[in-house]
Amino acid sequence: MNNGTLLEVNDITVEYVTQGQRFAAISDVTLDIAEGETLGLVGESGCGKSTTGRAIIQLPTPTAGHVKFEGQELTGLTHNEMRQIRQRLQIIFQDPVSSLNPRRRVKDIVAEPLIIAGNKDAADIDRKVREVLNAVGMDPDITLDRRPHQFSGGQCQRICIARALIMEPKLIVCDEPVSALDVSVQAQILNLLEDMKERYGLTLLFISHDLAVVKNISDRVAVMYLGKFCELADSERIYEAPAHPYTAGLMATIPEIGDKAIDSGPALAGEIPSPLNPPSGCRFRTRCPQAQEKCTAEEPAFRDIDPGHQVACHFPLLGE
Amino acid sequence: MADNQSIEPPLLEVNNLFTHFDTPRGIAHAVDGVSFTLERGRTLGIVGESGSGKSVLSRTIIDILAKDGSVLHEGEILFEGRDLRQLPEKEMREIRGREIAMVFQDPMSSLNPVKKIGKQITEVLTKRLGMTKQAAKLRAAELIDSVGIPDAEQQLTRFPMHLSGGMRQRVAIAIAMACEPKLLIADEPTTALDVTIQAQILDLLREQQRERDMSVILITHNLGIVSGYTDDVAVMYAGRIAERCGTDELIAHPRMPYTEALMNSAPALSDPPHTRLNAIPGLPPNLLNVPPGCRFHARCPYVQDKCKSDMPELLAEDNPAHTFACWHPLANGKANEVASGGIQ
Repeated sequence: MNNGTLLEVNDITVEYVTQGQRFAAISDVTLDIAEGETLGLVGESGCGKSTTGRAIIQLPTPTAGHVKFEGQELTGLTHNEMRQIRQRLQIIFQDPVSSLNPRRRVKDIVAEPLIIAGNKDAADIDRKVREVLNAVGMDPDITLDRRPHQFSGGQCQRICIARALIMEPKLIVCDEPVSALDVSVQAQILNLLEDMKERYGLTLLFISHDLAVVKNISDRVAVMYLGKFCELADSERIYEAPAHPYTAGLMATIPEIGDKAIDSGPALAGEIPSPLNPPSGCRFRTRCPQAQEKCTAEEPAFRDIDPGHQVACHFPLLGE
Repeated sequence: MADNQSIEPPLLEVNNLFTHFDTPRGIAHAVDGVSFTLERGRTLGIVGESGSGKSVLSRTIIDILAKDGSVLHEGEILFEGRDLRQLPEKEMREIRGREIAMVFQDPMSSLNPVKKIGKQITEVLTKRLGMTKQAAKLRAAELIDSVGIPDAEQQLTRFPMHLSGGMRQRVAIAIAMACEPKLLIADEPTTALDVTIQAQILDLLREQQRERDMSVILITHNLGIVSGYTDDVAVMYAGRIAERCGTDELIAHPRMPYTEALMNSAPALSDPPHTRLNAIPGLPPNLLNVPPGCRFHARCPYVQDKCKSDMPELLAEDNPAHTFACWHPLANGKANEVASGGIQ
């Protein structure tokens, strides 16, 4: 972790229209990622974490707000301009099998980004494809002519990573890249991502619902709830001293190896409200064990409570 | 059933069970010689990765696999002493749902999307228990209420699509509870749910189990869930049980290297960021072509020649309640020491 800011996201909002009603999938999301950093984005289904990841690569362009990548504003760019930028801004998805075209050979799948970018040098393409496949731990001689169905989920995810790496991107948005994998394979892919980060000097936005996975890979972690950030801090810190009651509740509900049957605490009550009709004031108040009147009346600002530790709560938990 | 405590057989006893699928590419050895017993009121966790045979095992027990000849079985499934495999389908139907109920992973696909919730519950009550419509309606509302769904009466008139995933799973549990089964098989009941909802559903299952003194088989890929919610555990690998003992014992002293590897490969919240994970190298074996010897040998860090040729049986060493299938088990009590240097 170091130096310059690679990505700056300011107050982005993504709105959709459903059943004639406008609603914001995410609102006023602000974050920055330093070069070489891994930012984890964690939250339950429907909290907007994938929408945030996609809005950053302009799929689709956010309804409002700004995204700056390497100092360049992305929101106003034309399709062709964006296409150039995307070479340095890749994404990998949750389901590796469905994100690979089943009818194409691995060599064509991995080479495609180069071809789209206009590379016509067959020898150079072949060399690069072999290099990235080697890097992700797949033997090119065996894999090049095979098709995705001949590989397991973990191997398909390696192929997806190879395809993302071939353009030598600066930033990779990883959208739940290990959620569909068994734990033993999940560990292989997480280790691979760390290795690739080192080797290619990558910056990662790592989206996951699994807090233990996010903690393992991230330098900083942002927690989302119902389309907004509720907490952002160094990963060590957020796990040791969560300040938002939602973060604390989320952490308490993770079943961990070694938990005793009797000591699992009370689960967070209730369910996530509909984003079509979010609660007034603090969005978490309907499930918050600490909710007070102020939480209904007034939306808490996302503010610093310590350097590098931001939280959106009127009554943050402050240590034990 | 006989309430004679002295000679009462265990609730469920599975003996040398095989389930093979006849596929165009060969025979898939999905369940390959599995034996275990489950006592009344206990919760048994069956843990394993995809393809380990854990779901096929549960479907074999309640006999819901295809009956077109493509599925080959062998072995005994004794439920209260009666072999379910020998029962005619008509009697089996009485047991399925009534004595042994099942909750599946995806509550949307296990509920009928075009029937109201109320109808789906009352149907069980009128058809299986012979209740009158009126009584069934009241009972359905009670059941819905007991699984923690608010506004019970009103919910009965809604369709599954109106409910969230967590609520649908509560409905599925209510239906499973309708006949007061002696055994509930829950197959990855929380895998499709968010963690906060997962905790609610697991708490609900435990509450139901205690109230009714029901036995539960909880099938999961998550050792954390096993750890917090089960009394005993069986670890499955490639169609066989690799290790079986009390849950606390397993977590504290795993003997089978696969169990240890599985525990070490999951990231722990207590580890600092960027801790290198102990991934298990390679992939589980292809069930169409299982290797000779121990099924884990190709991925095992402690593999020896014997492991490649002879298949280890599930046996106990010093503790009769702790069985494992391994020629070179981890030393008892020093698992963690071995773990730190063992698997790369």
